[in-house]
Amino acid sequence: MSDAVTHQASTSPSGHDSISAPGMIGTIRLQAPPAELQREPMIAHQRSPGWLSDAIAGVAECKTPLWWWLAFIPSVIMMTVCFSMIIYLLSTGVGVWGPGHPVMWGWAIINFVWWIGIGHAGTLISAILFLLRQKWRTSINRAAEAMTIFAVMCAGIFPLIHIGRIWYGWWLFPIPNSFGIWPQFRSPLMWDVFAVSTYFTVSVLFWYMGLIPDLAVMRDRAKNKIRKFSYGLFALGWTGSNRHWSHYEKAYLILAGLSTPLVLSVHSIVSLDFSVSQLPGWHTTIFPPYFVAGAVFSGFGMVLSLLVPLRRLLHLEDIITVRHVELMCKVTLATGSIVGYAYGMEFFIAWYSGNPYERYAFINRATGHYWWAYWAMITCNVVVPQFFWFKKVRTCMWLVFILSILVNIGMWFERFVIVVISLHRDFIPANWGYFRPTWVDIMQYLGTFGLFFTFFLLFIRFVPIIAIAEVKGVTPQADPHHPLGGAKGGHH
Amino acid sequence: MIFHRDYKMDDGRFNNNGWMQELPDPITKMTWENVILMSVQTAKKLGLYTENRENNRIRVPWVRMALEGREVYGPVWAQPGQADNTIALALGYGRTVTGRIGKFSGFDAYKIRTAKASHVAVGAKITKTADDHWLAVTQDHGAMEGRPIIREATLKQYQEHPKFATAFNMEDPPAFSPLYPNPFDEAKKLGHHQWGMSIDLSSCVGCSSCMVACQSENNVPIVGKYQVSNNREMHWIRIDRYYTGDPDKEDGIQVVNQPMLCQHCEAAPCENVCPVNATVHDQEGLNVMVYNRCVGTRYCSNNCPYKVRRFNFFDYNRRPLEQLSGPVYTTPLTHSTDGELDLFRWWKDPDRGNKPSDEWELLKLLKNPDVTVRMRGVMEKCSYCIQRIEGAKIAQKVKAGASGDVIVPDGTFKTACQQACPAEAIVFGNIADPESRVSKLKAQDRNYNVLDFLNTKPRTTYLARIRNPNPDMPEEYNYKTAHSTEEFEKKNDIHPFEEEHREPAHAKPETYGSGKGAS
Repeated sequence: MSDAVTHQASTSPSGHDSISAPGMIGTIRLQAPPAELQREPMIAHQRSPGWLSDAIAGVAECKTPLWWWLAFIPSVIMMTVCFSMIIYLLSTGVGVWGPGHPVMWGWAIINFVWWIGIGHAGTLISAILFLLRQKWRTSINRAAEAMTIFAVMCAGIFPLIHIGRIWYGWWLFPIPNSFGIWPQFRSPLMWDVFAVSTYFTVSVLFWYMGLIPDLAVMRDRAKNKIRKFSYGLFALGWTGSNRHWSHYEKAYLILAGLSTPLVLSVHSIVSLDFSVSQLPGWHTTIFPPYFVAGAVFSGFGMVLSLLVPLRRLLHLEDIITVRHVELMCKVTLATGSIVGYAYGMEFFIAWYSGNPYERYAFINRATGHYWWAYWAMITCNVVVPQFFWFKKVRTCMWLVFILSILVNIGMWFERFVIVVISLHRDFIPANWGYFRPTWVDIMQYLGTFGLFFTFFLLFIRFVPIIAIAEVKGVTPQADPHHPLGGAKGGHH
Repeated sequence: MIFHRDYKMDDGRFNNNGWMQELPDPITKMTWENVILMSVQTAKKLGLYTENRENNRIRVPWVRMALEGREVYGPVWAQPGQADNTIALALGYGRTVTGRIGKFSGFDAYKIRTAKASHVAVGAKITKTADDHWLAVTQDHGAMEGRPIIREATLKQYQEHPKFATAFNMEDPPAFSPLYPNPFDEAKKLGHHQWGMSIDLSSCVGCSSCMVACQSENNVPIVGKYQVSNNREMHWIRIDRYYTGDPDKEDGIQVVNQPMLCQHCEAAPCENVCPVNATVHDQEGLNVMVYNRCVGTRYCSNNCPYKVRRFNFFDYNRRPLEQLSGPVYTTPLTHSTDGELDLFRWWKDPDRGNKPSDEWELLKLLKNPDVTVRMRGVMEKCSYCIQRIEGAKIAQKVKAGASGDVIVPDGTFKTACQQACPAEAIVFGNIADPESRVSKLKAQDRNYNVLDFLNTKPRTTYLARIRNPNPDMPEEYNYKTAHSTEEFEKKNDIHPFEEEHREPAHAKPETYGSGKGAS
């Protein structure tokens, strides 16, 4: 930073700066940007490539820190709870959960949509931001993609186990069979199966593809044979040759192109689970864009909840800088405001439709027996992100952490509002009822946190949590036009 | 205080009958026990009123009733429409010597009944205790909220506006050719019959015998008090009961009933959301449920506007009867039957239940052999008694022989609910035959569809209810307009009985199928 400032001061009075590099013909004259447009560098403190490798790979190489164990052991216990609850459920019946007439879907579907929403940030960051050349993504994309994969795993559990006869779950897949019956392709649940499984597959491929050069780094740095062999196995013989890099870049771009529509399609299709039905509160055309915005909102909320403490614990403040956190806060603010707009629009359309059933469904959301859930949602999803307008809030890490948790709570309530409140009072008043979860519902949900954090903590310990190769590319040193960059000479 | 024989238990003789225990009382919708009934005002005055917030396991005060030195304890239920300052106790519950079913159901009101005052007694004292008690009620919400679910008119109104029933309809959706035409519109041309049902709300008295008839015909299991309180009762047909008017006034309310069962919609919302084709239409207009194929996503139930689908949350047919009372069903991982762990029993023979063998053999006799017994995780619902339909069709085919006259004549068979209905409110038959009774009923001007605006085209339609208030009665009972109509008018600002009401929607009767007599 200090160099950049010096450099600013040394610009010629005409506002032009001449940079000459060896091998270049003539002189390129660059307009130096005014001071207020100078961006903070992506990597603070001019960290060198060597330092970056050490810092990132070191997370997986150093002695296991105490906090890791303190987080890992409860996570494994909760993961065991998750599987015990599944066994109890399967052996006894879906009735161990809370659903009944008229609320036939309860926490299982809420949790499914919640987790899958969280799983949106990863691919958005890695694919869409990549195509849009948002370089700040490199510091967070790896962790966010890992989060996506684990979140989709947690999400995938629920639709599978919530069905009455899980042993026939494979009927939802178009597997050739002797019954001569195909799945019913008009059902949104069917589309869901394809959307989620495609999304998961592409996310895993994308994540793994990006990992290959870094796994090779881990292989090359390995101090014992087992590590060398295992990282070597997954590094697929990467040598870092030009040809490898060339293929890699192409494949990465293709996968980014493939993933981009998936970011939009998955949650759109999940939203169709609701909007294709004719239930007031579900049957709305606004759902696909609103769900996607909500998913990105909750995904960034979760990325913030994970990375804000991690950058501190892993001493990565120079790579995941305050600027990164701020940028994520801004995405959260933007998507949170879209979600808030959608909430308002839902009410407007309900009134504008003139349909008394539709109107009632929305009045009931805000004032019915579940008013508390609705207002929890409004507070967390509409009010909370508005704090991110203020730089003081965006740069205050503990506050960002708390607000990001609130965002996730709010998004859970959003799904609760959609699933439970819409169902509990529908068309015929004689059917109206109340939904209450059981202890199994609650433990099942908490159990998936165990599953998620077990995987995430293992990920921290075994895989470089930041894309080493990519992050070096966004250092000032790597930018030929930067005063510190290669074009100035000396860094080849 | 009034002692009355219970609607279901009689004097107690049916106490050990699960169907009777689980049948909701026609008015209170209470299952599995009796309650101390009093009017809303009286309950409020005594500080015993509990607001029903549609809560499962609604908790009500547990009180001590004392009469001439004898006492009994029971839960209080505030009953709209009951006369103020009266208390009603149902007999027949709280038997100490009874079978596996009747155990622990209700309290014994005989304890404070004497020969001197065997029907009506005065001077009872109620003391609130510190305890409360939870109840299992099948219908949590009493008001119709001004929705035209049940449509009513007084006789005079009907005479002036015979087509009033469809005037309650919401505006028709704009006509356009659908992107995806309903395949049933083509398929129904192949059907010999088109089945349909008409339910006359003027005749229905809400007696609920159709519910029991259906339960016995279709092997519908009982689920126990705890599961009823979780809204998991399995009845394929239910009687919806609404209070219209002001429930706080003893003379302020009217009660209306409506049998609600699968509407067999021609454009059934349940069908297109099933991912595995487990609920489909046949050519004769039945919305059939393929139990074998059902994986239990329950999406069909969420998308059913009438909420008539029932889900087997547990293996109700295999669990031992002791587990009826709940709360949590034991897992086969820890429970053993006849000294053998359930998991091993299942491993050896998956078709054997987790019941003691005597119970298992006995309960087999309960089942109708013509109807599949459903396992857990499967959705089920009214089938229009498809086994009877098929039986009649086969008999007709046999009779027809080479003549090819395979159309089942009207009145050959009845559905179970129709057969049991003492008021003959339910009529079922072939609507492709304009001469059939059901077709004639559907052609009446009182005919309407519930939730017409959804365009689900239900095969079950209702005949609007006509009230005939006695002009010699006091004002509350000699009304110009039914309470439900008043509520509807207030809520929607639509006035079905005004001269200039808009063109009735769906006024043109639809024609069906290519069946023999289709016009």
